[in-house]
Amino acid sequence: MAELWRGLGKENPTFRLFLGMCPTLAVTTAARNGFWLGVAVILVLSITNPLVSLLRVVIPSSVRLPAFILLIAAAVTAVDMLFHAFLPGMYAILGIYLPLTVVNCLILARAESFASRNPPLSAWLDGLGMGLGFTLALTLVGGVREVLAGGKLTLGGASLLPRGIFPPTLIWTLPPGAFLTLGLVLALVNYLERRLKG
Amino acid sequence: MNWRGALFLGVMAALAGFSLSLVHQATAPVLRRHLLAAEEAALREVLPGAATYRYRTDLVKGAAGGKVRLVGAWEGIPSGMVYLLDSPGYGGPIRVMVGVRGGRITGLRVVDSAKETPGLGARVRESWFAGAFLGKHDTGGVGGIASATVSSRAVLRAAETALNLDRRFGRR
Repeated sequence: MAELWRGLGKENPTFRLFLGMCPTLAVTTAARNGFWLGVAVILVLSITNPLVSLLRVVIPSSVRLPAFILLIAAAVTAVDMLFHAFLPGMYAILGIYLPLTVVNCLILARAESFASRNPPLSAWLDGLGMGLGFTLALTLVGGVREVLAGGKLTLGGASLLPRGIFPPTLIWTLPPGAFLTLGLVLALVNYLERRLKG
Repeated sequence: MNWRGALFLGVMAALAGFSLSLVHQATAPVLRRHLLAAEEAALREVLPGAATYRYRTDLVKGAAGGKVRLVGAWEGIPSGMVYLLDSPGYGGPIRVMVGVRGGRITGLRVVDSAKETPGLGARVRESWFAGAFLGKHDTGGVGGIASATVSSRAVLRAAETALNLDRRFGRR
């Protein structure tokens, strides 16, 4: 089970491995955007990681990377179609970042550095853990930006924060706000980690 | 030549393509239902009170290519027209749906403003702005949005174009 918890904690893809920074910065204008892109990544990783692991003995090592990308592209396209059909609203918001998951380095990195060297079950758990860690991080960054930019926080249609606590400040939804928020959240995560270790 | 690698990739690509065609077959009907329902809901919102809406291919094909492009037109039965227009905004075309009956705007909806700046130009989606067009037979009395001049002008231009089109094609 260590494979599962690693992605949430000490090998968190966003705060520790710094993988998939492009969507992390681009779609996190609201908590729910980050959350749903995270869900897409969980789905993709739980398809690609076990498949890569199952195929690891038959894939000729010279075409290893093209084979992984092919698998990833197929999985992402399938998830893209599912989102378009069942979550049309979210599909419109995520836009290009959903298909761009093909080149999200988190997914290729897990295929190459973990799934291609480990049995299917641990590869699946690793993908699940990494996906969950990514989702957690994106929801967190998105939530902070949503609160700072609009003074409100909504997830699943419910408003989680009374209005008027924070004055709305535009910069947090714009690209510079993404970098600032990521830096601030990262500083907080580092601080908390140091405090916990004593 | 690495025949083994090429063969392997070829077989894998074929399998991937086959699996994707299955996913496509499973999701396509759901998607089509969604799109139709969304279109119907949007038409009902901008032109309330029509029993059905008939798509007017002839208008869309015959529309002159100005700055604002007509990309869809529906005739409300028994009365009214709905125009779907692409109007150039700040970051790209803004898609606007306008309902007109008897020369007056019955409803306006910004369908797509994804290319506009969040917090500035994208504010043209806010419902009070669309509300300002209700009942208007020209756009003279509608003001723009501060710090979203280009985007709000684009919506205004779309409304103007819809009214002009209606003078030519709309049923009285």
